[in-house]
Amino acid sequence: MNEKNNIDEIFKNAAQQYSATAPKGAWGSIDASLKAQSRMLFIKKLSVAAVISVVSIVAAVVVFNSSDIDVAQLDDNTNTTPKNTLNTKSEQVTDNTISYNDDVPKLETKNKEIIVEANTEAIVNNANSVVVENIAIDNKSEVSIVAVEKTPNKISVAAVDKENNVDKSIHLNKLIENIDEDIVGSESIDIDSKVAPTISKEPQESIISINEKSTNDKLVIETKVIENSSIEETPIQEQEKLINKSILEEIAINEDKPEVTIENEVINPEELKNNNTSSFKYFIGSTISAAITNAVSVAPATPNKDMAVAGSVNTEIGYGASVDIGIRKDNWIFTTGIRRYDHKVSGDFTVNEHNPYNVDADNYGYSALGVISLFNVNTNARLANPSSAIYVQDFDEYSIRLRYVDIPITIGYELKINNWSVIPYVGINSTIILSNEVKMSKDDKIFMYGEVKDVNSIMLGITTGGGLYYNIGKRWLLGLNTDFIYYPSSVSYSKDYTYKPYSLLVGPRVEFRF
Amino acid sequence: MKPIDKIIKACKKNKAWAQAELFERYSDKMFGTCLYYSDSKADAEDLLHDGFLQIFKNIGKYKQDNIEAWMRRVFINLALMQFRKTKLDTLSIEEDEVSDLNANTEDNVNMNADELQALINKLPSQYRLVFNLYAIEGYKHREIAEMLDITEGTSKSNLSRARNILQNKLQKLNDI
Repeated sequence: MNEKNNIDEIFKNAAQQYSATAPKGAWGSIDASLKAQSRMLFIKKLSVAAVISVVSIVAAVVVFNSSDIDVAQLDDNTNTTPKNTLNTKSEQVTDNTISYNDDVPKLETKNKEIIVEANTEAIVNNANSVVVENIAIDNKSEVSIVAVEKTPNKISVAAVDKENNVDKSIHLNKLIENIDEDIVGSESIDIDSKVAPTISKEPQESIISINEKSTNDKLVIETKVIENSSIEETPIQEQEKLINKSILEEIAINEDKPEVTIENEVINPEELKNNNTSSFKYFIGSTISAAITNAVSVAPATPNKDMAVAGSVNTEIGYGASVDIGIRKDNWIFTTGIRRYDHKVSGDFTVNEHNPYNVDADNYGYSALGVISLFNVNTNARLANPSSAIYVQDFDEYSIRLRYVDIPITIGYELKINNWSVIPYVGINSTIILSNEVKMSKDDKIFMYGEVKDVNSIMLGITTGGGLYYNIGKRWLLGLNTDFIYYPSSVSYSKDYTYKPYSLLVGPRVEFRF
Repeated sequence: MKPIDKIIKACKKNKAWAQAELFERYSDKMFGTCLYYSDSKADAEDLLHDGFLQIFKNIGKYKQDNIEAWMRRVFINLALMQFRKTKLDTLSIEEDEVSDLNANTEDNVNMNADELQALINKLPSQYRLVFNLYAIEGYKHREIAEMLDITEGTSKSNLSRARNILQNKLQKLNDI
C-alpha cells in the first residue's frame, strides 16, 4: 500500500508543479478562432435583426391588408332606386329618365360592399346620380358608366371577368378625352371580345370609380364617388386612392381636348397597378441601419516601431439613420437626403506584462495620427497641441470613432411584383466628417482621448444598395434596405495612417409617397 | 501585474486584452495539464486550443475562487470527452512493462518533472486517464468509472496496471 501511495504521491507532486511552454503561435490560432466566433455572433445578431424586421414587415402587411377592403367606401344610398339604368348589352343611356330593369337582383350589403349574384343582371346606382351598371350573363360583363358634366374627361376603365378569380381578369383601358356635352351613351362590354365599356355623361359633378372582385360565384362591386373639385386639383392622386389592389377599374376625367377619342387596349393588370402606384411624383423616406464596417489600419508604426505590433482590431460596428426625399419619373427614382452615421472601430491591445510598450504619445500623435488634443486623466486636463511628451505605457484598448454626415444622390429603378417593390440604386455621396476621435486606455483609465487632425473633412464616396419593400395602401412602403458605402480615399492625410471606411448597412425603411 | 479578478471580469466582457492576459498567465500551466492528458504533443496543442476557446466561451459561468482549478477542470473534461469519442483504444501492454510492486521508488523522488510526465505520456490512454484522475486529481473509482464509462473493477484494474508500468519504468530509469 505504501508503494502505491508513494508512486501516486510522486506523480501527483510532479503533475501539480508541472508546466510546459505553450507552443508559439498557440495564442495566434486561439485569437483567430475567437475573432471568427465573434464575427459569426455578430452576423447571427444581424440575421436575427433582419428576420425580426422581415417578420415585422409581414405582420404589418397582414394588418394593413385586412383593412384594405374598406378602402372603397360605399355610399349608404347605393341601394336606392337608380336614376339611370341599363339592362341590356346594347342599350344606350340618353338621360336620367331611362326606365330600369325590373329584374334587378337583390343586393346584399356586407361591410360596405355590395354583393351581387353572378351570371345575373345587376344594376347598382350611386346616390350621387352616377350610375354604375354591371350586367353579367354567361361570362359576359357589361359595365356602363355615366360620367358627369363639368368634369375633366379622361376616362380609363378596366372591366373584369367576374366569373373567375382576379388572376383571370381581363382589364380594358379606355381613354375618353373631352366628352361631348351630349350624352355619349352606354355600351356593353364583352369580356371575351374585349369590347370597350360605355362611357356616358350626366350633368352631375362627380366621378366614379368601380372596383369589382369575383369571389366564387359572387360579384363584388365597389363604388366610390369623388367630388369634382378634388379631381381637378389632384386627379391622379385621388385616382390612386380608389384603386383596390385586387382589381382595378378607374375613371379619370380630363377636359383638354374637344374630340372624343377612344383607345381600346388591353393592359396587363400588373401594369395597370404599376401605373397607379407610380403616379405619385414625390416621396419621403427614412431608414435606420446597423452596419458592418471595416477595420482601421490599426495603429501606425512609429519610427521606432513601438506601435507596430500594438494589437488587433476586433470590433467594427456602425449605426445610423437617414432621411431622404425623392422624385419619381415613371419607374425611375431620384433620391437625395441626409444620412448620419457613426463608425466605431475598437482595438484591444495585447500588451505583454513582460514586454511593456513605451509610446511617446506626443510623437505618436503628431507623427502618425496627428492628435491635436489629448486628455490626460492624471492631470484631468486636455492639452491642445501638446508639446511635452506623454508616455503611454502598457495601454490595452484603442478605438477610433468616426462620426459623419453624408449627403447621397442616387438613381434607382423600381421593379414591381404584385405589391412588392424591388429598388436597386447607385449613386455618389459627399461626406462631412464631424469628428474623428482616438482613444487609448488601460482598464478603465484613459491615457489618450482626443481628436485626430490631418483628416479630410469632406470626402467623396460611392454608394450602392437596394431594398425590398411592400406597398401598404397606396402611399406607404415598408421594407428592408441595404446600403453599401465606400470611400476610395483615406480619411487621413497621413501616409502612416490609412482608413478607407466602408459600411454595409442593413435596416428597415419606411417611405411615404405623395 | 493586473489582479486576476479584473482579468476575469474583462474576459467575461470578451475583452481581447484580458483573454490574451489570461492565456499569457496560464498557458504554460495548462499546456502541462494537456500533456498529461494527451497521447501526443500535437494532441496536447489541440487540447490547449480547444480548452481555451471553451474557457473564454464559458467564463461567464465561472463563480469559484480558484480560476486555475476551474480551468484545469475544463481541460480535463475536454480530454475525457475526447477519450470517450475515441474510446476504442487497444490496451496493448508489453510484458516487460509489468513489473512487481517491490521495486524501490524512493530514489525516483528527485526525477525530473519532464521525465515523469514522459512516463505518464507513454501509458495507454485509458491507464493514463485512470491514473491521472485517481492519483493526481483525487477522484474515486466510482466517479472515474462514470467519467470514462467503464466499470469500477476496470478502473481499479487499470490503475493497478498503470502503477505497475510506471513503477517498472521508474526502476529501469533508476537502474540506468
